Amino acid sequence: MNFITSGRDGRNEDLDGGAKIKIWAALFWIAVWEIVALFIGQEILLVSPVAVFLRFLELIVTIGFWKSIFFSLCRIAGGFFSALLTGILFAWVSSFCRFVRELAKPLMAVIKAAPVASFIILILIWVPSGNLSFAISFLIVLPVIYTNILYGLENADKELLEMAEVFRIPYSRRIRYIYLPQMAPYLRAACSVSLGLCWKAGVAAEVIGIPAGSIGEKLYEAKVYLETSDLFAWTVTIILLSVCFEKIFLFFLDKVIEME
Amino acid sequence: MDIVINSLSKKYGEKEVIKNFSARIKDGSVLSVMAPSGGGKTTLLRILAGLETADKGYIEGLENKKVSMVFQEDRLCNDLNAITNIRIICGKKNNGPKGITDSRIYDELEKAGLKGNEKYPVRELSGGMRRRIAIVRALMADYDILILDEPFAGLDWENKKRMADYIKEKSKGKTVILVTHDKAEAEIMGGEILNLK
Repeated sequence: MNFITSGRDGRNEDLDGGAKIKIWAALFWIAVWEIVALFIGQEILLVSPVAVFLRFLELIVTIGFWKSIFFSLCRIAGGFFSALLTGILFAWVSSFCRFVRELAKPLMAVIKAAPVASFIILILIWVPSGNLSFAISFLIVLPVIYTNILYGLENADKELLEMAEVFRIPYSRRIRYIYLPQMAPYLRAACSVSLGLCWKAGVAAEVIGIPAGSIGEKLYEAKVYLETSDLFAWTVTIILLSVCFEKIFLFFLDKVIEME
Repeated sequence: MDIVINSLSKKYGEKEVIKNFSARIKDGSVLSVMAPSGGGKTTLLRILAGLETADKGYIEGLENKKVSMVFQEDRLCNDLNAITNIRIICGKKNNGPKGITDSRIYDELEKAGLKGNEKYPVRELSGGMRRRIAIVRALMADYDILILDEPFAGLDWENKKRMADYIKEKSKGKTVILVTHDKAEAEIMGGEILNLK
């Protein structure tokens, strides 16, 4: 099984790369985009960054924009948090129950390997499209969290666990002082990766399922009506949401991990 | 109640590390077990601490007894300071009759010559300091039997003496079982010396 590794303090430089992007590098690529858009000269094919920015400013003052964000955020974040809890619990049980571990192996392997589109279509048959992004976000995040947490648990310091056993340390304190610090790098790396994935997959599911009032529906409409500036403005919105959500979540996660 | 070890044997693969070992440890006494490296000392302590099971033989007198231990390795949480490492085993500050306040932990660390080092992550401390923190931790736990696996390893003679006096003072009336390969260490702890053969 693959798992995500990370630095000693849990901060994976590649995964956290967003924070380290230099402004000059971003400006360079925006300039390239502007030049190419000017060269093509057809907004329907490639809209300029200025036009996208202006369209973005138009959108953020509308109630519909915030309603769509609220709709998608609730479902995608809900899927993420549900998968986080389920993955941790499932990994914890698997860490001491071989039967559950063996049982989970094929399930996780299938979830990881199956195309997201297949899941989207299958889930569309089972659940209303309104809850599709929740289910997809859950399925995308679950194996990443499960695999990493299980690896972290299996590699917890056996000597410290024996010490805890001899001193009869309550389980709550074992989690806080022995498991959590050792699992933190794996948990952090898994969350960092899954937060990006859940937005990608969640919005893709919405584009296919077209639940009313979702960001995916707006992207779909942009495609149908060839509103390229809307497509780009919504894409920028999704990137901002994904990055902000990740930063805020990891900030609080770090606070919990550092708490003594 | 005395601890009675009856014909204890333990094998790892083909290697028999403890062979038919018997002993009686009087309640409240100090027993130093001596043996060369690989002589089964740590295995014996691990069986007494409930971390291993013997292949043959049995031990009486451990029922309902609380064990505290200084392991051969320090087994401290490296990123935490000395105070928190001790708090892990004795819980949060509490005002009840059994509550262990921070000031008491500071006092105990001072007795072990660790004043001024209480707030550093233990990974930043020397091996000798870490060893003394592990000893203080074991003595601040709630226990009936204190098990010490080479507790003075890495300490200079002055600190060995200091910690031996500290252990004897804090463990009065409790059963202490120490293993060492150094006769001088067994002697400074007093009590009976037993060769594990």
